[in-house]
Amino acid sequence: MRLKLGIARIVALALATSAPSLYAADKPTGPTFGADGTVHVPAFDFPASELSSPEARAANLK
Amino acid sequence: MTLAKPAFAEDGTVSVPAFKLPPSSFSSPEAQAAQARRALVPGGAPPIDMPIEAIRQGLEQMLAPQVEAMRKVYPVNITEDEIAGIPVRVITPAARTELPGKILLNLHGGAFTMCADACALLESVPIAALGGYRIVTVDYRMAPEAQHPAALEDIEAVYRKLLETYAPQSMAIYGCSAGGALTAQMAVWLPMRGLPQPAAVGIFGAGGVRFMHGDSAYIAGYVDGSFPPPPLPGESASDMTRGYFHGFDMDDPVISPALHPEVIAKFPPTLLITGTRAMDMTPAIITNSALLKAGVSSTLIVGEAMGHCFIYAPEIPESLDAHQAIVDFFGKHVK
Repeated sequence: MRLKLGIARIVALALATSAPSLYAADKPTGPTFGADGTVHVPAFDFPASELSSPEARAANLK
Repeated sequence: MTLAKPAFAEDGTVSVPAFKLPPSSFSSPEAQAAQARRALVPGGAPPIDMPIEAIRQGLEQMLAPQVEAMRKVYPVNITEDEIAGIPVRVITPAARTELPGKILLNLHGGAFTMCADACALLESVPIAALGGYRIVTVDYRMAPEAQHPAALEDIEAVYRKLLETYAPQSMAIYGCSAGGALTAQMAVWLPMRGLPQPAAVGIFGAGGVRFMHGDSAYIAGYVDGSFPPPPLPGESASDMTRGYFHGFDMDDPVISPALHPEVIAKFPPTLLITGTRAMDMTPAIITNSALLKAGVSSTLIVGEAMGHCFIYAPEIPESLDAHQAIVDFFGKHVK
């Protein structure tokens, strides 16, 4: 049953409809999905978490 | 084939090369199959200029079969009512005896803007049927018609009325996504308003800090794909809540209690549920750590390879396990 697939994905997609366009042309695109369930993750920049402590962020730089 | 390695910048940013993430070998066959079916789902987002009513109606139609599937697994009775002038649904078990003198308050998900029907039922039906609970799910005011703290005011009104019948130690509050965030906010709001805490709270698909910040925002955007990634430098952040918190400080103790130790110390025993591919993983982790540091009893369940609000999927064993864990948690604390 198709609607049984990833309900959270459906909800999330629907919730995201209230957001401005997700993927600008100069922005990395989101992931794509293979028929075997593999996620093809694009290259992206992952900044240090703003919620981690300054000490943890500094330690990650070493 | 040699895989590219991440590169580390001086400011701590990791440049992550493109890579392939296979289904987790620890996932159930059903979860792996659900992940594989995502190849059938079109990517990207529908236009933003769609009217909110159309979005709400479309979402309800899309989720109706899922609600039906949930009700087949978990038989319940559903009635519509009003408590203190606030529209509610009352969900009770249909195939077992209702627990006397106990009641749960559900706050549905939906980005503070939608899903008052389907999300409310997807969150309430399994817990009512499995645990034998009477559940009141609150149709609180949402954006764009209303703004913070409208939802809290509505939930407070219902809670006050229920206190005329139920002892606080016989009540619990829980919800997923926006409902999880509202649950955390209620645990701050109630003592502020001179009301007793319930016996326990369940914060699912959320935490006591704002969404879409920290590591899991990137997991959601680039690895899971269910939510937009954080904006690049120079871009403005999108507002999925359609202005629900417009003009408010998102670090405010009511909105982000996990950032305020003296506030979160007043929480009752708390259950948090998230997933390794969920955008809410960071809020859940931060909240669990803050609760434990403040000496509050907290349990954090992280579903392997699970995404946002995976408890909505009755066909996935990981979801059914989470339903049982929720029932067990409330069974332990709600007297």
